[in-house]
Amino acid sequence: MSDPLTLARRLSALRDEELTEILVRRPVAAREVRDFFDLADALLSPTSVAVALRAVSRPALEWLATGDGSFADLPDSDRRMLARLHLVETTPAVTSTATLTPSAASPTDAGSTPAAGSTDAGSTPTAGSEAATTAAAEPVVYDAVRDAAAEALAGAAALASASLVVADADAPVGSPDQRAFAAIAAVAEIGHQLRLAPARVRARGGIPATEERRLGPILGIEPDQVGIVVELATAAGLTALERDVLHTTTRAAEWNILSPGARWLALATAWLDSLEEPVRRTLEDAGPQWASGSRLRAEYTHRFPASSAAMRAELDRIDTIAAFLGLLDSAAGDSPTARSAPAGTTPAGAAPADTGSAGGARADATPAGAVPADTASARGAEAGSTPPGTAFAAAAFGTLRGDRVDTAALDSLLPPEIDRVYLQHDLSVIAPGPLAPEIDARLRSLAEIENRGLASSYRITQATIDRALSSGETEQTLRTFLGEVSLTGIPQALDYLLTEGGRRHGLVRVRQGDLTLIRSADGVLLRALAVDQALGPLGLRPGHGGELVSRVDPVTSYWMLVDARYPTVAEDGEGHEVPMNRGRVIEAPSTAGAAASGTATASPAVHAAAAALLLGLRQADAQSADDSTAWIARQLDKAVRSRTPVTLDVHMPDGSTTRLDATPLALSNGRLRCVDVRAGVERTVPVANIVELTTH
Amino acid sequence: MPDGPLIVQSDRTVLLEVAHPDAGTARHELAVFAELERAPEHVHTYRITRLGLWNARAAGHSAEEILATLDRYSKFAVPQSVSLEIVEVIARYGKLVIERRDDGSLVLRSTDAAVLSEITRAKKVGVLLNTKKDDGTWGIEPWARGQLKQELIKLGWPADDLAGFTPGTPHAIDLDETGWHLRDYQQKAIDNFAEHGSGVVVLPCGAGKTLVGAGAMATVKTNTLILVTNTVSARQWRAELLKRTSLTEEEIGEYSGLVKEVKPVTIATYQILTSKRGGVYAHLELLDALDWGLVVYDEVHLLPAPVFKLTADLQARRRLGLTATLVREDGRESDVFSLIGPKRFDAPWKEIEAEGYIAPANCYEVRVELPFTERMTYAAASDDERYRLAATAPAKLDATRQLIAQHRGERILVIGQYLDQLEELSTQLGAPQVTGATPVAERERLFQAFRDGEEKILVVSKVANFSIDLPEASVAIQVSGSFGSRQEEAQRLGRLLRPKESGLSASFYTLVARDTVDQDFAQNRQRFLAEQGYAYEILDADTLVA
Repeated sequence: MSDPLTLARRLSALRDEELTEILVRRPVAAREVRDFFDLADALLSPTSVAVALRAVSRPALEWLATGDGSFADLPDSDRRMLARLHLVETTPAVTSTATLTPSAASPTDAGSTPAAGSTDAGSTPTAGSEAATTAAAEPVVYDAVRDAAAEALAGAAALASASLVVADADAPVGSPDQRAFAAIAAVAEIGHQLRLAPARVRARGGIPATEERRLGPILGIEPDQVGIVVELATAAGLTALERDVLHTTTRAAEWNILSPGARWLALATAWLDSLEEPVRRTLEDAGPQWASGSRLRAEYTHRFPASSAAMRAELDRIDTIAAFLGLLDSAAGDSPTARSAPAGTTPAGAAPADTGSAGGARADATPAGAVPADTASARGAEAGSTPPGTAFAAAAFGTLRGDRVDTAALDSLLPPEIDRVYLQHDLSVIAPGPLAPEIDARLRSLAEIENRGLASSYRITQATIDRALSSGETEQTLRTFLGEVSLTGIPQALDYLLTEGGRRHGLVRVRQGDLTLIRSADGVLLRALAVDQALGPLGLRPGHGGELVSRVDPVTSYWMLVDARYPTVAEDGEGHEVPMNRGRVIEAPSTAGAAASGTATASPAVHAAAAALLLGLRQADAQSADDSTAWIARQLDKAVRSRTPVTLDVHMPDGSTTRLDATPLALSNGRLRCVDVRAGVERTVPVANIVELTTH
Repeated sequence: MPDGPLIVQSDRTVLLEVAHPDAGTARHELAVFAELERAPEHVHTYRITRLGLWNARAAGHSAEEILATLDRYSKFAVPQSVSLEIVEVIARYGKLVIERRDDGSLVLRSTDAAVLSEITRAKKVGVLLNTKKDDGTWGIEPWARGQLKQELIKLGWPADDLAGFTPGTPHAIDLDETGWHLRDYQQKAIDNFAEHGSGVVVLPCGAGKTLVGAGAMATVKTNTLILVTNTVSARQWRAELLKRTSLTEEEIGEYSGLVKEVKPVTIATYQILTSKRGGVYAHLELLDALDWGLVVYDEVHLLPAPVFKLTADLQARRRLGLTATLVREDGRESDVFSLIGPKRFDAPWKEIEAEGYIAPANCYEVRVELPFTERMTYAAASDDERYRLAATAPAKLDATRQLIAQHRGERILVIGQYLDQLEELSTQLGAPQVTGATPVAERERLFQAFRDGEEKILVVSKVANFSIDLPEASVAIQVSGSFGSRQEEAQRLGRLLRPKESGLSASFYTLVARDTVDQDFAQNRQRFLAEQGYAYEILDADTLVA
């Protein structure tokens, strides 16, 4: 029996959820699949097999290619993977009557069900079925899979030898602690920025280039790193999409008040947790080795030789993000060989280079607490000599494993936060170090931030003071706050602006109600509003009570007045002040940071396509009475169209079987018209009598 | 080093905490390679730029020294990206050298074949070179020395110009230091210039830039061409040179719209150099009229774009640029670097003030309430009318009167932008006005009357923004200006900064119409001076006491 027929029968016997899983894991072009034979053909096509093999580990790939050793010797996870992807025929005797009862899903594949015949602990068949007994038999590897596996191994060998001499020019700049600090600063900043101005994302995902160019300098990074910051923030649930627009979430404010080390740890663990399971597993296993500069691509492609070029590019991107986060100690000092060699094969001379930190003491010292005790002992890391990137990585992986990590130790790797600033006569505010987030947030509410970095500068204007007053501050709360944080008192000019702001605040009041009413105790001011050209769109007209009536809603009216520099407050129907902010945040998604492995990562569109295809397959299956006849008819149809010679075993009326070498001419009404090659005559053969068909 | 006075940011700015015990020494070492951007009272901001680093390299400082300075005084670890950039930028200087061969021809030489290959492939450089002399040397077109340096800077490979300078025709010039002496900073500026032969000296208004020019002339002792902004300034230079040097009337010529004299020391205006007749520059022959050994560019931040081109042809001469604000609105600071030369001396305004060489000044923003009718007119006006309406608000007249009364007896300048406003003020205050329409002779007469105390108040337009020496002016009332121009604000304050014989402090008032765009522009205008450490006090006009 041919591989496609075997697989088609196997697929048709699967239950709906099992079939859905394979359709999700190995998507096919629905327009080319009308029945299970088409599906089997599609799954055994070289392209589909090559894609499926990307997730197959080296031992499993070698077993597929050579058949050396026993299937049972492969790790559970590999056997489960091969079965789930239907790359091997594990139950030769499977028929349409064979059934398996779904077992509990493995921890890493929540929601998925194991494939028929798998024998690993996580998916042991629970029924005393025929399949359960045959699963232990050595499975059959489909020819297409064997060929593709051999090809993938050969390709990987060639790639590995080539990559040994290719240097990587994209070494991260800066010591890990500098990069870690820059990463949390950039993520905090994008939270502030998106709160004020949410960013539209491209249809195919990602931030538009224009937005990257705008945000890059603001975040203190290169424009092409903005996507990294967004990815980190989104993985941690600090930003999220709402109708193709990226917003800051409510979680950002909670994250922002964590200590620097805790902020970094939250980012790193959420990001690592969002990676696909094989990638994360590779990282976790490699751990400090990886964090000391070995290249993820080399490690991963060593483990998964059939990984695609796209995957290799993705791995490089992941490496870049890891470096951005400060997880890599210093790739800059690595030799090309060290970077391309898989873990365990790194030459001794390519040991982790100096961290390159110009910062002296703090960057070179790693507190013991930053490395979970078990991790440190397991990997031989010694407190005090562990490079910062290794310490960061150990803390992140430790957290993922459930270890308790001392974030205070991570704090000590990062620049200490300050809580005092200089207020200067030119109305600038200088924070001579990383400012505590709650002070930074409050300063941003009453000043424009001008520069961000280790130190930050802000500038206060009358407009920013008015803005703070409108958001709920009072002249007194501002004075108190500035007095508390200032190292140098409050300069006269700032004092004047505060007084002026307090005096003017609320002179114009926008009241919500059936009508939008604009009131002021200053009659002259109200008359000025009525003639102000900038307020033309409000269509202001005199009301009955001496106030003005706006033709647009209160919120729009409020912001238009604010933009025209009038000291405006919003009030409710009872005249109580309503704080107003331009920024908007959305609820944090509950799934942010969840593991992204298996079918869970497939988009809703993929699931919908799988469901539609499943329906079509079941309908086609119901219309086909005998799959053997249908299979032969399908092969004959193909041979007719391609004029391919075939060998037919034909059941004769006398009960015997005769062999016929033929060139098919036409197929209709259940009969094949063909040329008998040996006899040189044309014959007509009932398809139902053909018991075996071999194409040439 | 923890707890140093510097914070080095990844955007290449460096903050200096002034109150730190090591701030003084850190500033001294930092100034070698970083540009001072702001100097308010508590935290100064420097910027590490390519030009600054090349300046430092040109002066013999290495990347290691620079990094050591940063490491020694930094509070936090120096960002590695900054360290790498410094090493990389410094390494670029000196890869290319301009030399003069024995036959007088100029060549561009490099021992780095890759760099030479890169720059000779650049279109704009290729046309400035003629023949390849050998693997590492190309000939330079005789006229292209300056332009080549400009283009190389743009490509990021500054040339070390070792071709030397034309000595010029020797001319005896000595300082006549009877009753006065060069100040230390002036002497330092002169020495720095003389050591290199070209460059820019940055000093506050009133700090004696003319004397630095005179000192440079006395050091070089050669025929000198001095380029200035206008005729009045030309005559002030002439007077100052006659007073402070051995030069006589016969040795100093004026080349302006009014007079065309070419003498061993010739003072010409930018305007005359750039004036065209029949589409061509009509007075270029001045540049070759004598064998100039030194060209002085006064107010180099105003050097007109066409003069850059002319300067490119003057690369064989020694060049000295003088300015108080090396901030070009056209962003051509790199052209100043490549064509005039690197900055050779700079000093914060407040530092010179602290030494007593410029007068202390108090700056005030006076907010004037607009009366009902003006307020309504302003509210109903379109955006493009609003600034003029606010800036010329008649309500400013009363405030001006009150301030004049407050400073009765002092020499007062009322400075504005709009001629009709100045006309009105002149009439109402009974004070003469000086504008662009005032004949030069009349201007000089009025300025002299002001210096002599015969006129206590002058109403002046932007003609008085630059280079007008009015030592006894102690009060300026700025009623309007060119929108948000920071440079104009600084130059106007500069009119008051000459130390007063009376010992009075200077008072600089800016009248601003409350709750109008005038207020916004004023805040922007104040930034340069505020960043130099001048504190603006905000007052309400109705609190002024006459």
